Amino acid sequence: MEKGIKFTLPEDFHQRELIQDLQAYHCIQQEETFIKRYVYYDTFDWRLYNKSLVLCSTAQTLLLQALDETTVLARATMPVPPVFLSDIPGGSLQEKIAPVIEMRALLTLLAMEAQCTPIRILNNDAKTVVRLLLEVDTLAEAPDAPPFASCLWLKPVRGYEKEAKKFSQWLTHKGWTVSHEHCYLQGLAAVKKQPGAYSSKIRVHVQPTLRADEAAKVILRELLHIIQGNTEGIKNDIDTEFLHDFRVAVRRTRALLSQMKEVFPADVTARFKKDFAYVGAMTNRVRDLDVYILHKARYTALLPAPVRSDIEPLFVYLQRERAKAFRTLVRRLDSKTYADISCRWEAFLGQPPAAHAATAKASRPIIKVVRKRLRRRCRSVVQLGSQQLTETDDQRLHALRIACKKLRYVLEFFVSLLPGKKTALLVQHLRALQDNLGAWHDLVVQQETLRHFATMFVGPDQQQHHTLLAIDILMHRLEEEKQTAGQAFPALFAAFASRIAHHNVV
Amino acid sequence: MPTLAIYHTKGGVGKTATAVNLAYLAAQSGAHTLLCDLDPQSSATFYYRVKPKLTSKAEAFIKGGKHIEGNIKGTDYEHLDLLPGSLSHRHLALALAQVKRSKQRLREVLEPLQGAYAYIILDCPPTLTLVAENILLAADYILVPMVPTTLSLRAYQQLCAFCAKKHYDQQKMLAFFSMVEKGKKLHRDTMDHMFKQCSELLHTTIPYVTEIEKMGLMRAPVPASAPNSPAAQAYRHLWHEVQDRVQQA
Repeated sequence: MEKGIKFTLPEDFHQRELIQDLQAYHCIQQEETFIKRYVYYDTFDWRLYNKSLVLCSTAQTLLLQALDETTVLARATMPVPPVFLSDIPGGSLQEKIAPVIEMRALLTLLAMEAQCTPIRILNNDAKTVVRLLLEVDTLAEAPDAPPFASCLWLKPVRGYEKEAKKFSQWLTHKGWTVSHEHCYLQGLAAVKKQPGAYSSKIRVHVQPTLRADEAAKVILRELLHIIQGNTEGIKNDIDTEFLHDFRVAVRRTRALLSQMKEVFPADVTARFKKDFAYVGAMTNRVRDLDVYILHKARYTALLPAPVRSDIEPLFVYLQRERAKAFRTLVRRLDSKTYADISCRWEAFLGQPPAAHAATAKASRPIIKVVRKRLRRRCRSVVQLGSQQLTETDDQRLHALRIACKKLRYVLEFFVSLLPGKKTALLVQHLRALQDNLGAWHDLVVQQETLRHFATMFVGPDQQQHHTLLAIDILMHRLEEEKQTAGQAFPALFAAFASRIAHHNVV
Repeated sequence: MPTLAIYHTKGGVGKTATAVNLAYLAAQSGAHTLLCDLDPQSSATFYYRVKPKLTSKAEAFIKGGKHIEGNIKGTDYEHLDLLPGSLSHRHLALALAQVKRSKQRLREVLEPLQGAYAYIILDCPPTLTLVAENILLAADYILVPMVPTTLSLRAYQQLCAFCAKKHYDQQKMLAFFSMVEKGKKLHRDTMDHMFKQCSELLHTTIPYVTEIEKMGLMRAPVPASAPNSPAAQAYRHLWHEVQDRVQQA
């Protein structure tokens, strides 16, 4: 039954009393009660919820709904629970969620049972004029526990809208209220899950007058939370983005330690920078291989159709290497070394602020420290970029990319301290520049790595020869893309530099 | 999505019973279905407990748009809507004769509804007027129920001859036997003969049984009121066979 207007039932409602009440005022026909089981999915970072979408499966059908619950946007037949986008049959539903979930895995967040009793309100000809559905929702894992939600759905019958309106008024007079809350949200609350709770973005607000060392610790604690939140997902190899978010948080931690020079004692900063450099390095191999494997479709599409299958052995090799590297990574995440680093870091972040600041900058208001850093970072990006305009060089472009990254981190860490509109515009131009530099850098690295991979396929075998040829074609295609990225750089840099020159963000 | 007309020039062959039951089965499969009662007797409307529209005019019907959409009623069953019949439909042929493109008018009237419904099923009156020509052009498939008797078959042959003369696509005619009494030798012989003669006939036969006659009393389709009865089974078979033909096309 398609749903219509939802009325929330009082917590102490009893189905028998409700039906008796309905019978006293209306001619009704109660139908057989049935149970529907719903399983709800979203990614670890709530990508569907953040787009106001709900994905659930019921009776081998996958439904994509809007969070307002009344609209089914798309459906697909799905005999087994989906994990990745590729598990969902091609069609409207897959097309709609593809740009939202991308490479992320769908996690089962909630399984519930809806006990549904259809009731029809009849007219004098015993004709249905209003359809009702009494729904009592319980958690699938605890069917005997009290329901977490009960509601009555009212669905008008076409051509009998007056009767539906009259009945709706009757329900309102009885004190029942129309609800727009999705039972999915009520179910999540019942299992103590907070939708949107995780994000890889920094979402803390820092007071401008807060001591610099305390403000830095607030952000570092948030980053630690992200690192810890992703660790299990990495170990269980759920999808590639657990490791990606973990690495970004580690990199941000190192960047913040570098940017907050003299806020913490030099030996402390040096020690933790070394620790996090180690943590970052132990994830490099798996991430590098993940990137290639994630780009498989793109690489294949870059090749002429007749040689596309020749690249397959490369991906078989990459998968094998990834499996090896992953085992090493898990071992390191479970190691004493990593446990010690985590303990040291948590203890440091948990320390209360010392009454006497350990360094000169530690007790300064964070806003002053941030302003100075931003000025310096902006200057550095403009200088490096201007040099790049006169002479293009891979090494310098890399240095510029790093400078941009440092600036972006400072802007993101302390966004709550900066003027909103100006900062947003600056970030917009910076992001465009970073995308360009990132694409350039990725292509340089990909070419180098492909050159290395190619050595694995040198041999007398005919198939090896074909794979080598396919890699060679791929490298040429990547070179073309690199040239295109290089041509776009001057305009993007000019737009960013002009934003810096004309608007004093800091 | 296909429009199925249940049509025969002869009356009393089980057209309305077929339309009512197939529309119900289509809706039960989850497909949004519209049953259009084009018969002035409005029996399909009665079966679905909807009050026929007494005030509407045939001229308004053939204008379509809001005159049609505003009259559609939901039935007792999910996914099944009904365009009620009207006594004024007896003037449809006259009204059609007054307008341009008089033979295509029904098709034009139904066209805007195609997006909203997976199936449109027409319960047609027994006629060979302009209304019939509209039906023959508007429907993707014409289901022709035939009682295995001489007169009914003769009427079917006349219909085929009419279609041939007017160059209507005879491929869309799906004839089947209805109100079959297997105890009668005449029925058995007639069917044997026809199945040998016409390979395109549907294989399902609808029996002449009390459950179908009781539809007037129950005011419900047979698969809803007597789901395990032979009549309900027969209509289910017929619906599957029709669906197969539709999917093959």
